[in-house]
Amino acid sequence: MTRRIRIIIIAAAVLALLPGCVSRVAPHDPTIATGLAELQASQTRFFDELQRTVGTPDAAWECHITWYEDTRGRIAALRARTASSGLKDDPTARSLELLDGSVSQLEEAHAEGLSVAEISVLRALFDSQLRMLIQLEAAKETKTAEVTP
Amino acid sequence: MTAAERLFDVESVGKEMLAEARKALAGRGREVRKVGEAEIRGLAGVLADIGSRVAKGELTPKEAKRLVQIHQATVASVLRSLEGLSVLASRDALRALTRVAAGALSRFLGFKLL
Repeated sequence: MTRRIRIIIIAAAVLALLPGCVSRVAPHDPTIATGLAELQASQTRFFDELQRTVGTPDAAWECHITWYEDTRGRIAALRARTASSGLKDDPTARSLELLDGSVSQLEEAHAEGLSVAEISVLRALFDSQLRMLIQLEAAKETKTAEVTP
Repeated sequence: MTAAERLFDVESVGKEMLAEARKALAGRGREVRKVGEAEIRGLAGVLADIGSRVAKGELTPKEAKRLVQIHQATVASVLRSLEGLSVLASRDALRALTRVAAGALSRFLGFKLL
């Protein structure tokens, strides 16, 4: 096999790999980035309030039903947005699905009553989920900017 | 099992988590490894904190159980996000490789391929 044919085969193989890699992550979406930032701010306010009011009637689940409804609505909107990319296994979509499940678990626990110790642990866990989601979206933006002339 | 033994178990799991995460992140880009290790280390610390609070009687076993369930979902979510970061890093590497391959191919073909 001549050197020229070998180079053509290798180059063609590299070029053929590109679409498979690109299609595994949805492109950057400013609406998702903004939605995640808003979700993080809302979550911070929620845990701040819980930590301030724990042990009082104001910390009861009944006083926070609106927050749960609002949060579920926000996550549903973001999930619908990620679904529109058409990717079945997009990491952002899967992370949002897990976050949605975590919010349901949080609400169940809250309905039974949350202790001071639980609140700080929960805060750390939810912070972690959203921090990584935001970081992923930010990385998509950076990568998009890098390849846009 | 005593509260102290429970604490020990949780800490062991935390260490195992970090070791597994390091293995999983070994083939990833340096930046992804750095972010991933920091996050997993933090989550291992949260798990140790749950164990410690159970030992001190600040958390009931029931509360600890539901926290661990949310912890598991958090680990899964964080790993998904890391997977995304890793794909983006691979995509960068592949794009660089593509530029080189397309350049070589273009030179042989005599016209600009990409």
